[in-house]
Amino acid sequence: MTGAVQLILNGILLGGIYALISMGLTLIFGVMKVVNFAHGEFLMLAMYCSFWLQYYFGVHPYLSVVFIIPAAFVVGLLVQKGLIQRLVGSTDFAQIFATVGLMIVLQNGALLLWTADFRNFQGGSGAQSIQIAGCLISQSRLIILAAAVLVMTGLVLFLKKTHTGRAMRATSQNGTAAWLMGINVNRVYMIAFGLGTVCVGIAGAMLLPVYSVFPTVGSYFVLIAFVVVVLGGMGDIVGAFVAGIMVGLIETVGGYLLAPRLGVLCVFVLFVLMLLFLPSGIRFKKRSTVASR
Amino acid sequence: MSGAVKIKPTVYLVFGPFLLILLIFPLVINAPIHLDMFITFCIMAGLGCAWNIVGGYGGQFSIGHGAFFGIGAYTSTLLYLRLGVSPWIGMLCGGTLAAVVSLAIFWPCFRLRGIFFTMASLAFAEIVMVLSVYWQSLTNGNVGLLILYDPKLVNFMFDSKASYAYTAVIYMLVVFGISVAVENTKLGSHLTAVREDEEAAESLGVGSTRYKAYAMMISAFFTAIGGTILAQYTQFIDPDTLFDVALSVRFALLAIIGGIATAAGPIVGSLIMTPLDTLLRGSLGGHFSGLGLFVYGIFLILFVLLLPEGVMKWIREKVFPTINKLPELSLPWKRAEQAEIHTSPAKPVPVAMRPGETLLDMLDISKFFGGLSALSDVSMSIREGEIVGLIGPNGAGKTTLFNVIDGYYKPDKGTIRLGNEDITRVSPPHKICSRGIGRTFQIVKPFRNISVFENVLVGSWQKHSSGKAARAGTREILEFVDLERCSDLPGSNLTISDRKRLELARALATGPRLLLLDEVMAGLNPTEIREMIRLVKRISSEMHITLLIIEHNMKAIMALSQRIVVLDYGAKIAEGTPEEIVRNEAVIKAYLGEEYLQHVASA
Amino acid sequence: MLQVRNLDVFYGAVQIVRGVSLDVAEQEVVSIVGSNGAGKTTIINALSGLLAIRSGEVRFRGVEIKGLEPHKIVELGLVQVPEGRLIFPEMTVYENLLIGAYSKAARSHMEKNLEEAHSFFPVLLSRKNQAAGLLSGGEQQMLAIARSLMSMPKLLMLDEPSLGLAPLIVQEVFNIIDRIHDQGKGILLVEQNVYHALSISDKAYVIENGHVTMEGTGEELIDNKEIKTAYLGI
Repeated sequence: MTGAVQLILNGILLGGIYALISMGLTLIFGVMKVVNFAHGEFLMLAMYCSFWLQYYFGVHPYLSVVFIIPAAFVVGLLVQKGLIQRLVGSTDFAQIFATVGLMIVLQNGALLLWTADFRNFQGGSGAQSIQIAGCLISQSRLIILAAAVLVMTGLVLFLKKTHTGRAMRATSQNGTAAWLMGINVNRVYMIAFGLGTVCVGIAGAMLLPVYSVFPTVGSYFVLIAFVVVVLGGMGDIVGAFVAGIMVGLIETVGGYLLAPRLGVLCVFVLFVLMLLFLPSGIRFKKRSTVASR
Repeated sequence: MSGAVKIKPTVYLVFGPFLLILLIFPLVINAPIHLDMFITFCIMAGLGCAWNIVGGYGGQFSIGHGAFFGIGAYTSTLLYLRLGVSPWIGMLCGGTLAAVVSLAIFWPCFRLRGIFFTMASLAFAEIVMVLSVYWQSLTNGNVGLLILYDPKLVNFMFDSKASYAYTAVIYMLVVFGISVAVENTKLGSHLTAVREDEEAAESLGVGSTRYKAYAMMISAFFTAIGGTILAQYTQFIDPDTLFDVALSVRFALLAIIGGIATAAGPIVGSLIMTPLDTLLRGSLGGHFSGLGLFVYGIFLILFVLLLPEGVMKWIREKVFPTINKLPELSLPWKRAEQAEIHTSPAKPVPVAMRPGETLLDMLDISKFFGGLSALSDVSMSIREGEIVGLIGPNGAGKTTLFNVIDGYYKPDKGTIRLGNEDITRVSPPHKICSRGIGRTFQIVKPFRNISVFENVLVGSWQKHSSGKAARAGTREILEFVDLERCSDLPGSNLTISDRKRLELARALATGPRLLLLDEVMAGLNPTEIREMIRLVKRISSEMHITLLIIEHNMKAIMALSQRIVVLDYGAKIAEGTPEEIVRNEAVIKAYLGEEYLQHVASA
Repeated sequence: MLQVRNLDVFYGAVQIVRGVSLDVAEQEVVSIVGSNGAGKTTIINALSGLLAIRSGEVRFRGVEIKGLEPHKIVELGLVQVPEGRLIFPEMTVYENLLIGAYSKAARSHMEKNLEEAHSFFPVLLSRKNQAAGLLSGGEQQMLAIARSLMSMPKLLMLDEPSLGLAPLIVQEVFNIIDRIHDQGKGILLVEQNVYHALSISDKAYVIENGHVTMEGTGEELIDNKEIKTAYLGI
């Protein structure tokens, strides 16, 4: 019994990580309809940033968020202005290969600068756990889950309650109408991409105590993030959170039933199955067919 | 025609010498570094060509081709190591396995929009990698597999690098040859059509899923073969190198840099990237690992944004024309007498029915979109040889009716009969096309990036089985609609009036019995409208094709139609001759408003 | 108020609008009529800044608006109610209205305008918290108009406001247009429903194949036989 509870707890905690990473991606997709294959590399950069802040200045990763948030926002704005803006409304071809190109540039840029070494958080708290009713809960994973809840709440409030947030939702539902209502859609895109990058930046800092950082760490997570985003409904923040938890559970439980390494396999198989049999789950596609009537 | 064999300057100055270099290089060059580079160039070019078949011609952007590459390498290596099967046989097994796997995995994925397909391909590669790492007892997991050096022909291992080099050259040329073949046959024509516009391709009788599947299988097969060749050459395989996303991207990159969807593009791409890669790796790589791929990534972004059609476009437009101004090379021997190809002018498909019999019969057709009824109980029939007009205010349901007829939508109620066959449930549209119903689209959908000739050829395959006949049929149709003057222009370069003709030509090329025309006059000026009316009349009188025409231009519809059906709010409100329709009060009301009638009456 | 001179607009290589000139004076109702595909919507979209103007001059209240981004044009007071309404379906009715008041100038008057919109369209108040996508076609059209009014336009451009609506609702929409006009706003109307459009217009332009082929007062054109020709081909 405790075993099962422990398993589910582990799944939820892993899911928190996935949720935190995916929310930025789904925000960007929802607003701009651009899929960013380099999303994982922003995670990697944030992890490195957090790592070096600790290495040189002794800043604890959780504290490094204070520096990473503005930095990520600026990086997001620059990337949006330099690259992504040209991809909005562009062909799939351009979207896929330009962002894949960015992915490879960032990965190998990191390799050039920081070598392929795995680098770890320095400090013990990563392994600390709290024990509740016989179940072990990793403290740092719990913090990540909390951060995910916070980020989700923050985003939802932002989208619902602020002028800019409402403009963002309007833009995502109908870009043309948004322009006609006096919204500077290009500015909304920049803010959306900046915010998406901030979300994944926060995730990077939070992840450092749990995972090692190396140049290709992002490409593993980005695949999971795609699964989460598609499962939760492209552009749906709360959906991404729920789907993140689901994916974490599936991976953990699947890994327990088959073999630890095959847990992630269950997730990808689910992904492919879902793309196949639940295409209506992909709301983006459904909407475009209705519009083409 | 007879005469001396003439050779174009591009052949004797570019292709010939290039081929010669390929053949001589391994004999003349001994330095292992250069031979290595040469072999890498050939294998990568071949892999690029293989990717290009599904990625370029098919427009299915896979970044998971590394999985097929890995399947090829692992299959042949495991068969050799564990069972002693010759890698030559293993190579074919690997190719076949990859083709089968590709079909099983991607068949359902073809329905997906581009980006989702790419994600699925990425996930697929990850699955294969996880399996290869996990299945340690078989694959040795992360450690990889070492092939012991035992040079024998049967072992696919040679004692000279030159032999490897020739194997690689042959591989590259074979895949290149397959690409050329794909480009010039029905497969390529249909594949490109599907890539450019699936809906339009379907309306021309192209079963989109089937062609994507063919392309995927061919591509997977040759990618896997490339995997075997590389494994035999390096004599070592491990999951990290085989399934690296960057490797999969590299296949695509070569095609993109060289020129996506051109047969020679990946070779040109490899010609540029392989030396650069060797340079970056050789001179600096020791200190700066990652530099090579870093540059790759930058190239990819720059090309996608600035030169998405690759180097080949520039070569084709700037270099070849210049070279081709040089004199042709005449060879002394004579070419075999070649008979002029005569094909009979496009005769309409023999029709089993006599004029005047009912060709299409619709009974009580209803269609709902989320509670809103777009069509309600529409009944109409069209007789063989007739021209019927379908009119009604905006949003009356005219195009919806077309979409129901051609199988794009299934009606929620009612039946549609074509001749004696019930076609109510026949879909997707390509099956309707093959039964003899063609259509054009309200918003023209030319295949933008291929020539006018190739556009029409897509339809022509529906009617003709041999390439020769299909091409001849295409020429006839182009002449009929007066488009042969721009047959080499890409579809996107036409004026609106020529685009409308192109749509007509494509649909006519399929040899339909019934043609549905959706606003072919919209956006034309009065002169063009007069010409179009004449053309539509000729389609009826000379090709004996039955026509159902949606049109907003009233002059045109009155001049053309023998009978007119009027829809309003999804229901049929009137039917009759043009003279009856213009006097019909319900029609005038629908168009100009009830108040207008009252106003005119009181005036 | 709005002066358009020799407007040329292209879609890619295809010219849709050819040398169109038109004027809307303060507080005037002007309509553009013509068959499908004549280029009416293209004109409106070019004026809104959604499509690039190849050549020609467009001045709105003395300001050259050619080349301005759409949101700048809205801020100047030239606002479009697009064809097909294009409301934001997953936002509530209330949120749709708030989006209408996005520009800075409008935001400060939001409360007042909101009250006005609700008194103008009581149905929007009663459906305040419903997702806009669940409204009926007529209600969506009301919302689209109300939303645009929130941005305090000086000149409202309506593209096919009666499209797809039942006759009774069409009447209501035209009554509303009349009332908006009574408040002193200029109206530029694109309509298929010729009679309705002409009967409320001070002036109208007939567009065929991207050209202005006729212009005159609404009454003149209503009695003109050629209008019937342009539409019915007789």
